[in-house]
Amino acid sequence: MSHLLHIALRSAWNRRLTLGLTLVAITLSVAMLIGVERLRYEAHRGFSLSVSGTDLVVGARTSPIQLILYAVFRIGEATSNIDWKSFQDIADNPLVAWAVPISLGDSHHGFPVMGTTPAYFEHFHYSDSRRLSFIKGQPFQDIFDVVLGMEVASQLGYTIGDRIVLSHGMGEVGLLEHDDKPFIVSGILAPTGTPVDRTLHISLEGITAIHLNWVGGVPMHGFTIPGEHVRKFDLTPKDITAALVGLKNRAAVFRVQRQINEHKDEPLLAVMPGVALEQLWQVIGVAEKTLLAVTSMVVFVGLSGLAAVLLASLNERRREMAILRAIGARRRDIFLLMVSESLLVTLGGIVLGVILLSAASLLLAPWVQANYGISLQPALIYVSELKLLVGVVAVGLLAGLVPGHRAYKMSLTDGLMSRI
Amino acid sequence: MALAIDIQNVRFRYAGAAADCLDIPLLQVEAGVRTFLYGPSGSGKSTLLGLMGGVIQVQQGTLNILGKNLVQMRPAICDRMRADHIGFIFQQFNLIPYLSVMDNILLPCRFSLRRQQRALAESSTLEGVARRLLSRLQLEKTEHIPVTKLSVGQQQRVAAARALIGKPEIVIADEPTSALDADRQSAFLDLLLQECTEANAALIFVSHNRQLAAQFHHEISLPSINIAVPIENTL
Amino acid sequence: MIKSKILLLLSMLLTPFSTVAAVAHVHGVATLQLALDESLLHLNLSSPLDSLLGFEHQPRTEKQKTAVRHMADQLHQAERLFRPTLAARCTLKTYSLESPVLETGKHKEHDHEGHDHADLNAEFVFYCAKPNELRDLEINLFSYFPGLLRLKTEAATPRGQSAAILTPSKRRISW
Repeated sequence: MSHLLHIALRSAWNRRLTLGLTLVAITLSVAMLIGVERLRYEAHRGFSLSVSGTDLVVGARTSPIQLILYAVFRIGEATSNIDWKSFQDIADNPLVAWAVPISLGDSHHGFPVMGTTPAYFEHFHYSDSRRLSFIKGQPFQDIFDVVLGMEVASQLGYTIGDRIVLSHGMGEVGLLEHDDKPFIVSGILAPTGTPVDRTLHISLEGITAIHLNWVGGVPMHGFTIPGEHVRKFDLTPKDITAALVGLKNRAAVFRVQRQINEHKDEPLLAVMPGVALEQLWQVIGVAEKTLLAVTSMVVFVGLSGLAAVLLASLNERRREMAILRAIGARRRDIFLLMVSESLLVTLGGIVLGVILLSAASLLLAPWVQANYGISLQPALIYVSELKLLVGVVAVGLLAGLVPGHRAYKMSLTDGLMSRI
Repeated sequence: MALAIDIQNVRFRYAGAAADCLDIPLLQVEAGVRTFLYGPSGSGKSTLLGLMGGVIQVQQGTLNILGKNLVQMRPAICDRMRADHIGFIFQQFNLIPYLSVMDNILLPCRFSLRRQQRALAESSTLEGVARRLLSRLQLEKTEHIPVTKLSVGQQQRVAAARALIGKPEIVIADEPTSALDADRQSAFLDLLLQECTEANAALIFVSHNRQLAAQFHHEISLPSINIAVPIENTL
Repeated sequence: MIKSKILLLLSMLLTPFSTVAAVAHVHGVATLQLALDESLLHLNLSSPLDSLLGFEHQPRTEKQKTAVRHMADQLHQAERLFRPTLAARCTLKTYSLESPVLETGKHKEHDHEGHDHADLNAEFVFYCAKPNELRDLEINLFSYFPGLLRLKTEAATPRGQSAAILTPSKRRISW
């Protein structure tokens, strides 16, 4: 076998230009296939790990997926808020163990600012029931304290005691700034791999405070309230974006959900985050399958190209096959020679494709994280991708069978072919 | 003397052909003997060589190579027989273009353990054996030259070295000199005959040039031993 | 941000049939809510009567009355309809059925002529001796109610929340 492999390698090297181009095509298609699968996997993992221990997420009436996306993943914006009174009603429900309000809408250098209560740090869980922990400092206590997610702190280089000016609204440029009321970093959270890392947390009172002199989304002209005076105002929020709710008894989740959905004062929506995520997968699943099918087709095209190149080379290699036969090669050897060449190129394409993808994901990880909220792990290959690669090898093998069979048949009719 | 090749009542017809291509009542070649096989094109030469090498399966008769009957033998065993006991030299384009001179010569030792062992009996390394053959065939210093850079004459001598390595009992040369000019023809023939004698191999030398027949023990005319009705045959 | 736009678009596409999931009335579709707390497995089935009976008014003909009786008979045998993991050793503890067609003695509030919809709400509570072993539930509603084409399930268990859509060819939820 090893001598056949040696011959196959030398033969392939002899035709390195055509095979090289085929290899490039296979490399790119494999990188694409695995890349799509990796993004899918990371998106699922990221979303699934981002919330745990929360029984219900409550917001204004919209679609459950939209509510989860903005309340938990900070993707998109709320269409409307819910009254503080409604939140209090929910918190007062005897079946509810805890309720944490969330107020979104402001940002800092593109990172979302979230107003909440200190209870958030106690009740919000991620991954497998893991609690948030501080690597530095403590939860906000003062109105103008801010707790940073790990990534906010590391990307912007903030540490405890730094002063931060928040912007009104989301976006990178052209935002009005709350520069009259800077915040001071009181704590930095340990990394979680969830949207928490990209969030600035302040108290609900802080949210109210920075908007005190604002009307209709802009500061009132010529009227400012210095930070030290806001404490005299009633800083109870009028409304919030959403609420996270934990129940005393899990079995009550459907009952509480119904009660909240039938809330009298204003239309509310309570969704079970796990259920909403499943619905999200059901919808995205179609797109994912389509994408996977398209990239699979690209790989298939690449491997078809390989089969075509091998078939086309057969005529010029007829003489070579006849010589090998005369020397004692079995017809099976001739067959194996073709198949091993196909496998060599396929495996080469897989190895190069995986390396290419790993390099690309290393380079692009920060950008993907920042733009899509998907954290790419610095891994060469994921277990979930192996089945795809096995499939690629299988198709590569099939691609080799066609010319292999052809060569086998040819060696039968050609004999020693002492004349050309 | 033992028979290297013993063909009796062998008939062969290509699939779909109307008539037999070969029908040989008797053809025997003794071990270590040089035989000149004369055959104009169309006389079934290639087919006969294919049969001897076990590349083409015999349908009828007796075909003994070194006492083993290839008729009814499994193709893989025939391939093994060929690898172990027969060296082939063709008219031209004998060499695998992408392998070095050395790798080309050593190919039979890769496909046959027997040839490898017999070669190693002569020298401690296969390369040593190959180098000795190269020097005897006046091919010193060609070892690392790409085979495509060799002259036709050099290529034929490399092919001879490959056919001879590991001392196979039978060497079959099919028009090995027809691509060479007259001077080189006789020089090549001399070398080939000398090496076959050295290796004690039976040489079957096929040619349509009867002038070369003088240096052989026997001369056989293929048309005279093949009683198949000659029809238009392009082979 | 492209992705978030796609997600939003998708979520908006989903809006019409998800926002009102709890109260949606789609013929051929029923909803099952499953909650596991301590040893008690709560199942709450709500279905348009059409999915189970083929009509949604008070039974008028003998045939329709038989159909209602048949439906009630099936639902009374919840252990045939719902098969929790065997190892969890679950037994039916209590159940209740609620539907306009079953309230024969009462004032038939919903039975005025027209195109009003009517539902069945059923609650089943199983007691499980080994709730830790409870990992899946096989649902045989499709065998007994051929009018039922899809069953949307939502589950809350100690292992988290999940949702799945069951069909006659996929009858098991696991968590």
